[in-house]
Amino acid sequence: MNAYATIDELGAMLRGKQTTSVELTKFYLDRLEKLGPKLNAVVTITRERAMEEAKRADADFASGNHRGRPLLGIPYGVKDLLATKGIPTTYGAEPYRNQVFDYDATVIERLTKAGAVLAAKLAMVELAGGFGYNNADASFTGPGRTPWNTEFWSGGSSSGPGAAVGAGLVAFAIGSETSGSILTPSSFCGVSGLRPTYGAVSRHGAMALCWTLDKLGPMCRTAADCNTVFGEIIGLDEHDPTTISVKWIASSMHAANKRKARIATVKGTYDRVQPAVRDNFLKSVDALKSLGHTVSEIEKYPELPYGPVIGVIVDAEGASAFEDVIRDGREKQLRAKADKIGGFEAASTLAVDYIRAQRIRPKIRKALLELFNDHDLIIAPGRSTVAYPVGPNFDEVYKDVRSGPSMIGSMNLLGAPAVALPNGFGENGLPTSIQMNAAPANETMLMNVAIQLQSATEHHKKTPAGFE
Amino acid sequence: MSRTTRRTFAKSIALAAAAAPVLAQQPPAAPPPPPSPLGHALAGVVLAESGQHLTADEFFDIEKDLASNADAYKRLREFKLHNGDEPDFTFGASTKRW
Repeated sequence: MNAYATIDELGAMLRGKQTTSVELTKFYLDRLEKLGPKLNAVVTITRERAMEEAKRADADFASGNHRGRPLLGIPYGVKDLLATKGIPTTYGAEPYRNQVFDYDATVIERLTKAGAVLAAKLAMVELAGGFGYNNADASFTGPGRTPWNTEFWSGGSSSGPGAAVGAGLVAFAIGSETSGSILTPSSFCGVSGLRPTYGAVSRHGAMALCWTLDKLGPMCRTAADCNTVFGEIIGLDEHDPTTISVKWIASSMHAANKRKARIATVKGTYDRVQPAVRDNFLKSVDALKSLGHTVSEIEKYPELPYGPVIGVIVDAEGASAFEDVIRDGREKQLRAKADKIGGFEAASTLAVDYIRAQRIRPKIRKALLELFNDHDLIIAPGRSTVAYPVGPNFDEVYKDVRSGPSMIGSMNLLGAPAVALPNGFGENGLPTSIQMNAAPANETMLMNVAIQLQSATEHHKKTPAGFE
Repeated sequence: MSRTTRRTFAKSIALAAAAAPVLAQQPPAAPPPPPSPLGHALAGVVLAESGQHLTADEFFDIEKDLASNADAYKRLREFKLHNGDEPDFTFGASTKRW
C-alpha cells in the first residue's frame, strides 16, 4: 500500500478491487497510531467510527453505489476544531480537553455523505492561535513537527492536518484559516492546501475564532485532490448565514481544459526572503510561463494597514468568542506563554477601534479587487522562510528575512481564495512553497492553474524519509 | 502619564483590590515596561477585570504588549475615514437568503 497515493489513485484501487476501504482504513489507522506521536499530529484516533464508515463504504462499492463519489472509502482527518458527535473536540486547548458535542459539523456531515472515512481528529495550535502564540509549543499535544525534519515546526494553526498529510497518515485533511493557518502548515509540511473564498464552505460546528475571517479548507497531496474535496464540502448551509454559492469544476475537467491566466508577482515579496525560497519561487514563475501564462509584476501593492486591521479584528472577535475562558481565568491553562496573557490583552480592545478596522476593510477590498481587474492570479512565496525550529520563539529566528507586503493578511481580509503548493526545498531539507491568490469566488481559475503547475512539476510527489 | 514603576504598580494593585480580587501573589521580576499612556490605561482595564488571574510578571508583559499594540493602533487611527464609510458587515432583519 502506498501511503502517499492521491485520492484519485486510492479511488481507482478501491473501484478496481485492489483493496477495500476496511483494509485502507486499517492501514492509515496503524500509521496514525505508530507515526502520529513522532509529529504530535494526532489528538484522537477515531477507530470505531472509521471502521463502521469503511464497512459502509465497502457495502456501497459492492452494491454499485459508488459512481460520482470520489471520496467513497477514503480515510481522512480533521483539525480538532470541528464538532464530531460523541468524540472529543478539544480546540487543541486544555480548557476544552473534555468537550464533546452531540452533532457533526456540516463539513463532516457532507464528507460522511460523500462516503469518506473519518480516521482522526488532528492536532492544532490552541484556540487556532487567536491569543498570539510565539512558539511552536502551543498545544496540549506538544509542538507540531514537520515530517521533513522533526526538529522543526509543522506550522500552524492547522499543524496536525499539515503533518498528517505530509507524512502519509491520512489521504487528506480539513484545516481552517483565519489568517495563514492553512497556507503556513501546507508550506512547512510540503503539502497542497486550499483556503477557499470566505463563505464557500460552511463553518457550522467549527470553533469560532473570528467570524468575519474564519474559513475551512482541504489540505491534500495535490491541488487536484484539494479541488475534489472542495467540491464535496462547498455549498449553502442554513446553519451558516455567511455561506455563498461558488462555481466548481471537477479536477478531470480542469486537466482537460487548460486555461491561460494573467498572473502577477508582487514587488518586494520575494527579494529579501530566504535564498532557496526566492530561487524556488522564480523557478515556479518560469514553469508558469512555460505553460503559456503571462506573468507581470505589480510594482506597487496598495499601501493599507493590513496588519493593524487584521490584528484588531482577530483580537476583538477572538476575545468575544472566548470571553468565558478569559473572564474565569481558564486562559491560564493554555500552554504557550503568550497565550496565557493574550486573551486578557485582546479583551481590552476598544469597540471604536474594532469598528474602525471593519470600516477600513471595504477600502482594502476595493483596492485589492482592482488588482484582479488586470490579473487572474497574484502569486508570491507561500512563506518567506522554511519552517521555524522547535524551541526558540518565532521572533528569535530568521531575523534578516523580510516578506514585503503581507499577502496572507491582505488576501484574508479580502476573503480571497488561495492555494499553497510545494515548490522545492530549502534550509535543513525543509520544503518551500508558492502561494496563488485569486479574486473571491474564482476558485475555478485558481485550481485550473494549480493543477496545471503540478502536472508540469514533481515537487508534490516527494515524500519525507523515515515516514515510508 | 508617568512611566509605570514597581511603586505605581503596587499602588495600582492596592487600588484595584478595592474593586476586584487581588493579583495573584508572586514577586515581580520583569523590568518596567516602556512608557505608553494608552498601553498603561488599557493595562489598567486588564488589571481591574482580570488582575486576580495575573502574576506581576504577567502584568508587566501585558503592559509592554499593549504599549506595542498602541503603536499599531496609531496606524489604524491615522487612516482617513469619512462619515459615510460603513463597516464591512451589514445588519439584516433576516438571515434567510434562500
